[in-house]
Amino acid sequence: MKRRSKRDGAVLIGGSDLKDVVDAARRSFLTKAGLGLGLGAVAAVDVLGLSRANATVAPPASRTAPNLGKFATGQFPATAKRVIYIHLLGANSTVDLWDYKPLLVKMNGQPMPASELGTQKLSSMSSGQAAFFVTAPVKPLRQHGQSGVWVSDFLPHLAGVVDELCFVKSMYTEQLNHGPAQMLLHTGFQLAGRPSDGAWVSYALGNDNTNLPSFIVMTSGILQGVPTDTGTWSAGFLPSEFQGAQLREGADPVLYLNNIGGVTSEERRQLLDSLSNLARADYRSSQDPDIFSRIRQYEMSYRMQHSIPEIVDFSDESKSVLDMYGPNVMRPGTFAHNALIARRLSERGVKFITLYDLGWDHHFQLPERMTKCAQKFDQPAAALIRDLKQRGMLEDTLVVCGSEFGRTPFAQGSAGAWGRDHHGGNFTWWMAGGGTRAGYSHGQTDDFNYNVIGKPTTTYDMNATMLRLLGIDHERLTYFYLGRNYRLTDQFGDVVNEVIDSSDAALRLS
Amino acid sequence: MHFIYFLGRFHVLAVHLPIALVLIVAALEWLTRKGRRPDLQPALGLAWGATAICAIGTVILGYMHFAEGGFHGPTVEAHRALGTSIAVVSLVGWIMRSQASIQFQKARPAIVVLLVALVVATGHFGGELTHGSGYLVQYAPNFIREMAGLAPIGPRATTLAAADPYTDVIAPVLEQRCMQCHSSSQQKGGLDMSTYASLMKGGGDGPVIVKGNAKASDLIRRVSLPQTDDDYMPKEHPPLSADQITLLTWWVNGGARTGVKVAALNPPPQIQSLIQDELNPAPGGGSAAELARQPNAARDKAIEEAARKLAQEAALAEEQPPKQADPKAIAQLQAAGFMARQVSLSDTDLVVSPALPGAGFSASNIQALSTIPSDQIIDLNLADAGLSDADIAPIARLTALTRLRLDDNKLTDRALPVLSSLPKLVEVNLVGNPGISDAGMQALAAIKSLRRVYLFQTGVTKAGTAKLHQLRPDLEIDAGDISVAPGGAPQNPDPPARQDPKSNS
Repeated sequence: MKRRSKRDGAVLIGGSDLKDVVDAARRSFLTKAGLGLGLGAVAAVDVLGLSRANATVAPPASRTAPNLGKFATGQFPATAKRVIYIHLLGANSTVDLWDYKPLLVKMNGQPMPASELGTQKLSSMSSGQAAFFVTAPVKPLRQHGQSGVWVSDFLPHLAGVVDELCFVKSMYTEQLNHGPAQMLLHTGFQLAGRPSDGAWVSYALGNDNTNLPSFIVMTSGILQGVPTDTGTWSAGFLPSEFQGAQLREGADPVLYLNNIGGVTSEERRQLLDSLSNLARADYRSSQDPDIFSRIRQYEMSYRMQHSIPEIVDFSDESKSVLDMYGPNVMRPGTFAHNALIARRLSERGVKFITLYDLGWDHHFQLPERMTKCAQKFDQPAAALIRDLKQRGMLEDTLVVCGSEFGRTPFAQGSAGAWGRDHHGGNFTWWMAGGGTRAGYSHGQTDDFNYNVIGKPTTTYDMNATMLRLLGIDHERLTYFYLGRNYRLTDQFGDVVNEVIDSSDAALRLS
Repeated sequence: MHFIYFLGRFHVLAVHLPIALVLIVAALEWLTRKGRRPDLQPALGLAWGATAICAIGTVILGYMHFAEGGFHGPTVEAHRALGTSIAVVSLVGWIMRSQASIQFQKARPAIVVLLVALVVATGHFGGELTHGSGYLVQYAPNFIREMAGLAPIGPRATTLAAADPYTDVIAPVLEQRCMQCHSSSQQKGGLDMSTYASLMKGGGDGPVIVKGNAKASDLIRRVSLPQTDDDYMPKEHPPLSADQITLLTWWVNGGARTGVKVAALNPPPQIQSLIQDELNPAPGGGSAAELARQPNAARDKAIEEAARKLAQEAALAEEQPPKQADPKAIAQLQAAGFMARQVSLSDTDLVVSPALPGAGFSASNIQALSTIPSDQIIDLNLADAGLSDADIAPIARLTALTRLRLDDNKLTDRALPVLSSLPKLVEVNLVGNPGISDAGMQALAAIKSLRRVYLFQTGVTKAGTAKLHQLRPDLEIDAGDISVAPGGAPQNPDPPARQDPKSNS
């Protein structure tokens, strides 16, 4: 792509003239700043820094050129080629579902010992309670599979695939409120503004299908208190094309995707071509690299007119497969529906799919609400694992299931309508496929399910591990912005090598 | 000073040399008694010399170890005195032996017997120091325990009515978790927990138990601290379980009593059940909670070893210079509608898939595969490409291929022989090709390198997978509902759940 610029011989990088960009950015900056504050050295450095980062964005090439991303390949051979990330929004009670502690049963109804509570931070919703009564899991847990993992009777279907799962029981977080904890989980920082996990992966590895976005987000369940936050699938300061594309429920999964009445596809194509010409003209005068990002998104949405309807049309699925996902599979907006879409997107090469399932914030009436949530989640989640497995895709598809934090082993609220409060001290995540160690449980928690006592693991560690499975060294995936390099794991994160199944790696690749 | 301590720790290792040598000396002396076996005489001189030198060296190391501190009490004094005398006696023996004097001839048996006796006694006290007192006779029959001055192990109290709160509940916990360092022989911090009286006396900083007040008791405070705290106990060992801490706290708050029965103290129900666990330990030891998180040591070790290896490999990969795959091959593949990525930055083999999965792929696209160097593609995805048997012929020359996806095509058994020309093929995905049937299993079995095959939604029946399993027991076969693990019998994907006897309901 190197070629001499006609005007002053500057080297052209990625199709845009670095010096032009700097000049244009400075002009634009000075206009916007109104020749006001910050003029001088500081402003100049700022402008240079900004444009250096963005000048590498290339204009869109031919429509079918593969999107290989910035890296095309990682530092390591990838055992996972794509990720399906299930986020149980509001934070599921792993006390009730996965991490069995007989002591909670034994001490049911008695106050938590002060020595156990220690100085751990409580949420302000329960910190004022006079006493913290230990509360046993709502339904019994039993050991399942060869691995003997304890699973709640709430999850009979997942209990059947437990040997495919890899558990991290020693998760903990410093963030006790939904917003910051979710933001920390997905962007590596508790405040909004940084690129999200899917955006980083999309930026680094592009997509295995030119006709679909590489990062797709879907939501299911009923909003109860904890909403989704677009910040958790934002591109942050990465070019905007890397943000998650949200598929909505219903017949129109992407808004404004279909042609408006009376406009043919042909006309739409002409419109886009004219728009592209205008954009290029705009670029020649403003040199704003984000213009290309926008053109690429117009082009993507044009291609999605064909690719998306096919994804959400289940008519080619066999009845046995549909039955496996359960009775809700044909109902848009349910987890079952989204899980099947996720499998179909995976088959077509989408790199990163995030499924948010709402309604897990059980501060009160936990038994009733857990019953409803688990019912809608359990069967499709197990079906997704089975379906990927029987299609030979589980081995290179990483499925992650977690929440922003856990819930307390003691009760919150009154006896008649009790629930559990937010708890950062310990909680359980599980993964499946993508080169993780099936049937393994990582880390230990204490007898009260209140503290981590072995192999503490943070969301940074999990993000580092996820990138490692995709072949990426999390310390090398950086983006220069406002004077320094940023990464998904901020300044933290260690790969949890124990959860990576190295014994089988030779079978998969090279 | 640290170097002295470092050397000192070799005492426990070096100590075995003089022990063995003394026994050799004794054996040689006995064999050569009254002029027998003169041929062994030179060896005897050598053995005496070696014994004396090793004994002296070991004693010096012993003093270095002692200098480290933390050793108090009669056991260590006895060990020190006896050990030093071994050095002296063996030196005397060596000198007398080399003089070959008449006195030595007479004193010989006495000196040898003395030396052996000293070694046995010193070794015993040394063992008590490292393993804790009573280690040797812990499981001895009662008549030996009584000879050793220990209380006989009666049938241990197993009921709340018969159990003493200290002797039967608290003392076993202390013995198991604390007395490696706080016993009569090794009083770290001046604390000896071996008897009730010495426990109440406390350590160098005063009492560790304030009767009736667990909060003010240093013992309770320290075992409840996080492991990272400087004051945490048991130092460098895993923390006490919550059950154990609860029991200790209850006992101290109740006045740290002994000489009564547990039942008389009216413990609350929760404590009662913990005491029951303590009095009637589950097989393998530990309460139910501890058992539930009992790690499988061998497995954990293997996993940690694998994790360490992965970390090392990652560090090595960091240092590898990046390598660039042949750009011409990649461009060719892209022009033909494929997407090609390197395996990694330092591995130029290619992973190839269609640029537009499931959309307008044809045999002409695949023809491109016959013009690129055949040893570069190791992973090829041709899923949902509308392929029929004739189309996949160009695959035959991709000799580096390890992983091949052919799912959701129109292939039949006739396509399978093509695969046998791929010497490194490890895995093939044939899902969703109804034309593949039981008749094709022979051809699959013939692919020697194959380790895994996916056959869901094909025409293959249970009989077919059984036949394939019979032909190739090493093969992992996944046909959806009828999965076969390598080596094993066909598996029910849903093994019946194991019932927990103590399940909470």
